[in-house]
Amino acid sequence: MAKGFTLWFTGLSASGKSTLAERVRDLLLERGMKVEVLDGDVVRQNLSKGLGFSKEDRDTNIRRIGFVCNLLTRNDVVAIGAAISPYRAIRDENRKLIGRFVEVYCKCDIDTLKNRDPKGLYEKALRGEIENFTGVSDPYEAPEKAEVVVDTANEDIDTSVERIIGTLEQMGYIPAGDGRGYSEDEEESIKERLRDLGYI
Amino acid sequence: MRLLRRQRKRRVCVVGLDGVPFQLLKRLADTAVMPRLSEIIQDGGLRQMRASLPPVSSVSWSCFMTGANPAEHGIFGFTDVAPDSYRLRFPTFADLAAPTFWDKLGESRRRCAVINQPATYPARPIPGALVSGFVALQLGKSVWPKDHLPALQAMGYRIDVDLQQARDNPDLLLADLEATLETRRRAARYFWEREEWDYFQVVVTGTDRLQHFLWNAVDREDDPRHARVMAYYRAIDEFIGEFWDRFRRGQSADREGEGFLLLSDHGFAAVNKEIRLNAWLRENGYLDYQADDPTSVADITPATRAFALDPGRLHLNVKGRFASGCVALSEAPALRAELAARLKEITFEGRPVITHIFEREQIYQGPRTNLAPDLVLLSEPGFDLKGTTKGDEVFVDTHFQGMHTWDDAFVWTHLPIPDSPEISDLAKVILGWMLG
Amino acid sequence: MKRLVVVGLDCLTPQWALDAWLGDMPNLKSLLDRGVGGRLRSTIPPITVPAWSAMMTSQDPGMLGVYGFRNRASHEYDSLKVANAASIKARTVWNYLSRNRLKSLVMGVPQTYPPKPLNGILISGFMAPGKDVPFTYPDGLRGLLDQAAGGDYILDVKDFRTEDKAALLESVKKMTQARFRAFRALLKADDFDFAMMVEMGPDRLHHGFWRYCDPTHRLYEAGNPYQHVLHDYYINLDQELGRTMEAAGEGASVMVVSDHGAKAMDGAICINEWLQEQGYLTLKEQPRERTRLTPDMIDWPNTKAWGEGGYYGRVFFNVQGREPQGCIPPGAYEGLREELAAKLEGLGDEEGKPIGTRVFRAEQVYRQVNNIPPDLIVYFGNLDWRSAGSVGVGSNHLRENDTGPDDANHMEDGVFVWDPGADRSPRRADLYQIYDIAPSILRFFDLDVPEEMIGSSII
Repeated sequence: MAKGFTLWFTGLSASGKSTLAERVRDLLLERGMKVEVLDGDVVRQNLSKGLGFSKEDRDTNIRRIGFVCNLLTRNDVVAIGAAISPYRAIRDENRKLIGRFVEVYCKCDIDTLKNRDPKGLYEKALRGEIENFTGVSDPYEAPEKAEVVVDTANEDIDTSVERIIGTLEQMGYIPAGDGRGYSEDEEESIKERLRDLGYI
Repeated sequence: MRLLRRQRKRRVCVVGLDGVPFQLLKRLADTAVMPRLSEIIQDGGLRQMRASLPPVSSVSWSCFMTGANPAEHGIFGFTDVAPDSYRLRFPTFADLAAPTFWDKLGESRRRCAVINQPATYPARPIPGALVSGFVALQLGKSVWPKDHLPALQAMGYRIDVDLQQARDNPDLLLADLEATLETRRRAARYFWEREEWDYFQVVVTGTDRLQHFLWNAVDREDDPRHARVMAYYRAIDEFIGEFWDRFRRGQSADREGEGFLLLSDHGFAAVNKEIRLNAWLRENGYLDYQADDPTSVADITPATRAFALDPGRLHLNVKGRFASGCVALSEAPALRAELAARLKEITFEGRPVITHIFEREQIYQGPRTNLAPDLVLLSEPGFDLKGTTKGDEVFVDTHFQGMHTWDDAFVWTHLPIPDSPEISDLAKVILGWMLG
Repeated sequence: MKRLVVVGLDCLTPQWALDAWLGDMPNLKSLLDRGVGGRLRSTIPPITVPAWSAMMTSQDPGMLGVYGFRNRASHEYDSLKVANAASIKARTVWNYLSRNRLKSLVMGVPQTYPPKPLNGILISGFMAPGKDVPFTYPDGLRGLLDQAAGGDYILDVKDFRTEDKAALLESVKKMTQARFRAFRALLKADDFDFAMMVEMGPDRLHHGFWRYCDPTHRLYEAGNPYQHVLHDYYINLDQELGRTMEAAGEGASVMVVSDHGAKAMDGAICINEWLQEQGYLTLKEQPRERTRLTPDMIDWPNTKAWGEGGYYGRVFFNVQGREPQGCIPPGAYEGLREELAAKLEGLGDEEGKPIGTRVFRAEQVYRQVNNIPPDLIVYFGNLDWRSAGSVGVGSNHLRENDTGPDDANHMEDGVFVWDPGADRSPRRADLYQIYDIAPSILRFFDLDVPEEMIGSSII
């Protein structure tokens, strides 16, 4: 069975995309998988150097990241994209191109983001010092059918990571790990109970 | 001096009776077996309600607690199948992929006390307190916060009856049911009094157990255990009555019992025969095993085109979906149609027994639709659909007396609910009323 | 390229490897001369399970929740379950290496069955039920492994508690040779950053041959045909070590480590006979001959404590509200523990002379206590004596093992020798801690030592 797939984190700046991407990457590496992260900030320093934040430039950036994710995916590497990727149509383009595509929407309310503001960008954007800032002066189109929605304002990181890994296991993208679900003995007990009630 | 009327937060109390069907509930109220119930349901709306598809407790209560359908919350049954190994897996509370309405209440600073609802094991933090229900293996992992564990142990709290004994010893089962209900009552009182809650929920699961093993005694007055069984429902009636009284005492006069709900998660009916779907699939050339004594669908051959899981779920062995899939994606619709047509023709003593064949897109919407069974079947009451891999016979006798049904669960409440409700509708109603 | 190779030799014992026979082991000596080495204090208890897991995770048995091969899964009377890899929730050193994209070869480390994924190759340890179950990661490496071993990779010898000493010796030698061969072959097959093997041979031979080789053992007879078995085996191990150091390549760092040591065993204390004599244990019926004690033989309402056999002694209490038919009121638990501990510490040999027994309480020796520990952990005669669980013996002392011939007990110090490389300035000491190994391995690769590791790096 094909081993590669693309895990795409989308959400506003400071919503937790990079943090979660790294945590998931580490867990998958631990499980012996080949993984690479294409983080929007990092990509804009190399592959997409010189691109701005106009709609056109953003679309180019996301398409470039999608292009590379596709190359990795078809070579059995897990590609993790983490970028604001505010336009639904372009995200869906990547989904269509790559196929084995799992979208994680990092939802976070604007007040929490403003409080976090780790790079001081929201403050600058609100003062008008930065133009085209997603969530302030530029639009963000939230996903309608993301495979996982993590509410990073209300959920702790470990829980979010568990849910993402759980989804990947359930959807068959990664083999089931241990620690989740039941031990062999527990499974035997459950089977017995279900049998006793005629549920299996 | 004018007294300011403080805006009080609205409270809700839900008492669940696992598996109690609409008609039975009405009968118990009308024949004064459950007089408190009869009094309570005089006003407000008692409605027949559709359970989840399939109508098993883990799915139905998951639909209840998330207000979502299985393609959103990810729980399709007590069992599921791992796509790489075909091994059976057993979803846990951690596998629930949609937020519960208890979590949503927490976001608005409301607190919840939830006791014994199936599909909440192992216990995890909720805004308030949780005691897991079926299939909870160890009490130690069924309580959150853990501080409540000593109290539950001290009161002899029991999660479930002894199912092994139940089959052979109906009298022991009845004694066990009564004892378990008593501990459920104690635990409910404990959390009622000790927890600061806005939402309270307790589920009695003994009804489902009783009905599986002793449906004849429930249904037939001439059964020798009928009286004792009715006494059990009477005890439940007192249980309901106690919490109804407590709930109203805590509210102002103009909110008399408004936030109280009674519901079941699916219906029940007498069962005569089991229908073994995998045996039928094998007989008709869709499935085969690579072991002499197959223990589960993990033993199917790669050439198998379709296999069944309990109860009434059919999966096509599609390439890309399963590791040894042999059905191309493009062939799947035709194969589904073919299967549906042939399944409709299954008869027992001349009568067709499959009443509904749902394609997954008809009944599920959400990110996990592609993990759902391709077809979900319902059968004539009396015939219980099974996903076992044992045996060659399609129709088999069963020692069970009762089986689950889909469209005759019940809900009672004063709150405004849709006319033809489904269990997943209730979360929105409760949230709307509490936070609206 | 930095590479670290760890040769694990289960039960290799310091009084021979680092002292009496070091002169005959030139490869080990050269490692010691270039680097550092000394005794390695093992876990409490110093048993293969959980010592290797503790070493690889730098977590103590209480943190791991594993106190020996078999642990109580619940407070039921019949709940002893064999610990396996699934029992270990903590991260091993190769988990951390995988996270950092370093590749590992892990062969034969105890408690690694069933195999879990990693970046590299893992061959389960000796407790895998056989080679016809998935015992490697990735799956399906059996053929490659057997070929690399020169024909047949051997997980473990059939039964080391046998009277047929000649056969035991033969099979251990074959096993050792096969494992080293397989390790060296796989080492060359890929560019592993970290490669570790554990050979069980020394443990098996110690148990089987100690009385023939140690002049201080009470059953030793000078001039017996097996007198030099262990000495010759140690020389053989050193030769294998030499070949492995070569295969590791220029610039590779090599470490030799054992999970615990060994020493002569004087006899066994029949813990359940003693508990009966002292009035803590009551049987329904007195057995007429020596039998294994099973829960159904015990009169539970009249039993306060029962024990289990093994290299170390475990005592379990029958507590009200905890065990199904508990009779010790919870308030009396601590008092009873004190009382029993004191009596055990004063235990004497057949003549009543105290044998120097040590008693531990889990909460005092571990940083955390997870799962269900024994209520008392006992080193009879400071491990000069083992524990025998049988009843119907007729005596508290048994001068042989009740589960088959076995002359050696474990000793709490194993061996540690390491040459980390010229620029590393390793800490010099006579005694190291088993918990220091994993941190040292991580630091070798310039990785941070995670907080949960309780040991400290030697470099």
